[in-house]
Amino acid sequence: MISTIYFEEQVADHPRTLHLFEKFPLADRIPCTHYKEVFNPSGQNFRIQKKKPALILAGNSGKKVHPVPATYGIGGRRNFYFSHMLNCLYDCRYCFLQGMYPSAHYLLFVNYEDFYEEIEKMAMQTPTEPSWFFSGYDCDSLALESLSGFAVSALSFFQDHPTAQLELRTKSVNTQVLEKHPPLSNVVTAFSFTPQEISDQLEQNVPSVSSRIKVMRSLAEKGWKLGIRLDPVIDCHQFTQRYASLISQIFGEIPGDSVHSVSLGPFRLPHPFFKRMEKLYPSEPLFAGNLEKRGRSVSYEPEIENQRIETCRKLLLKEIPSEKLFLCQPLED
Amino acid sequence: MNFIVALQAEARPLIDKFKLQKSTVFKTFRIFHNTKHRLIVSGIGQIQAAAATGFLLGLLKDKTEALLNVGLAGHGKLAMGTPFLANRIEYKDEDSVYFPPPVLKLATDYSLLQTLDSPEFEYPKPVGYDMEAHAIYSVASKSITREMIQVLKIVSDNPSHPLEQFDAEKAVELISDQTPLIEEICEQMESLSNEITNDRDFLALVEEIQSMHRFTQTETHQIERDIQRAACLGLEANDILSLARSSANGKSTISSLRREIKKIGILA
Repeated sequence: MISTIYFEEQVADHPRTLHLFEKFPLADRIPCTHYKEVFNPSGQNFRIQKKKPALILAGNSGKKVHPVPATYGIGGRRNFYFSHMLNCLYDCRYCFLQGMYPSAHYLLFVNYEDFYEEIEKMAMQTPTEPSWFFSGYDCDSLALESLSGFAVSALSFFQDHPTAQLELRTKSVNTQVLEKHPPLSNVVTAFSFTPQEISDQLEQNVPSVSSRIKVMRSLAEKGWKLGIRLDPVIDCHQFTQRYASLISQIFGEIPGDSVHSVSLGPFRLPHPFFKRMEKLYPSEPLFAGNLEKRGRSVSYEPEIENQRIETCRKLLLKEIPSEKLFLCQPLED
Repeated sequence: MNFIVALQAEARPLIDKFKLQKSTVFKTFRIFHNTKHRLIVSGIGQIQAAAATGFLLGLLKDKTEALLNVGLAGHGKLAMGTPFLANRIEYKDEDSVYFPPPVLKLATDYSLLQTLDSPEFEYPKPVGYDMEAHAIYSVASKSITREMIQVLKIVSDNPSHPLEQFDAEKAVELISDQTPLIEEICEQMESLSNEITNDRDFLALVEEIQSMHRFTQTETHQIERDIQRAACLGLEANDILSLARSSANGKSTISSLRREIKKIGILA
């Protein structure tokens, strides 16, 4: 699966680096001084690299935990995100990562403990008020677990820090780490969905909707709290029928009391990201369709966007109380 | 597909394999070509290599065209005759280190490559040694997509068989032995290049429509993108042409096309 590993010389002896060298003994190992030498140069083609991404092992020496925009969140007042990894196993055409990063290589920061130290500091600022930490912004939280061992390590940390709340966001069915662990009340595993017909067109390598629902049910039975993320909402033919069917399929299988939160977010991209993505995939119908530039973002026309979000909101409110539904609004320009 | 080699002896097997003809147009560098391949002989060393790369870049139509540097190299570890793809190219203590992205699917060796100003006789590290690759990558990566620049070296000398003097016949033999690998690399690079290059039918359609009306510079870009949008949303080339023919000018062609796109611009 991984045939090339770049590694920063400073993490060459890190236990996670050594473990990965052992896990991929045939991989070509290439030293670098700083991951940016490999990851950042301009003139790389994300689309081509995505066919055969390499793994980059590095240490994150900068700020590791960042505040989340005020219009995002799932009920908490203090929200942060962190990225132990950049880039994703899956290839979703709407994903902003394609427009944000020059490289499609998987960049793994092996110094998880430094992330936890920062998370602990943030959480301790308000010891009586929960702080939320979102892990799936720049990668899928579980898809590369067999490689990263991130979730198993994070569960151990969050188990000992009950006021710190963790969201694992994923499209993966690779949930063994959760299956084997007793449920934690401060961890929500959030699964992202689009209707299967959209997934077939836009989400390469992503497990089917039904297989994701199946693992959700299994996690619910074990007592894990679940999140459902309809973000981005993608406009399509038979929109209402497809989203109604998706929502009814999910709630037909998942017990309502295991659902911690549902969030809805319109499709939107920062304009420079959109331009890069359009250039990478000029024949992609999603980018060719009825989108418009609004302020610094590209999104559906307001009327369409509002209609589609409202349709989903009504469908969801038949299944869950309104306090569990969150609308992730893009920041106004 | 473009090749850059330092010496005529390194070029000869490629000229034979791809049946390349010497160009009579260019005098600065020796250039050989057929309809699909182009080869430039740079001469030895970084200055020559940089100049030849720059010259070659001037001949390319697109930054997605592939460039392969083929040549002989010393190596501190690999056996004579072993081909390897450079995965890290460095020059002295310079900060500019290049990492050709590992996009090819080949069961060949990969190695670090150090570009030097003079031949290496001591082979102090288990890496490759050449005299051109760093300069080639440095110049080419300013214009060409990095994945489309690769460096293939064939080991001509190592600690067991140190470099004594250049043997042209040996060079021909070493490169000739690797022509099947070179062909495979070409196929893979061309296939990747095609994936990120606009197809000819599309370009012909754009050209035809642009010749029907006058377009400003901005409109030229707009109409190209709109034709592409319309096509990928399922509008047939003939329908796009009809729209353009029935429009009074460039501006109205763009408007008509956008109206059509609006009707069909929703995901299936």
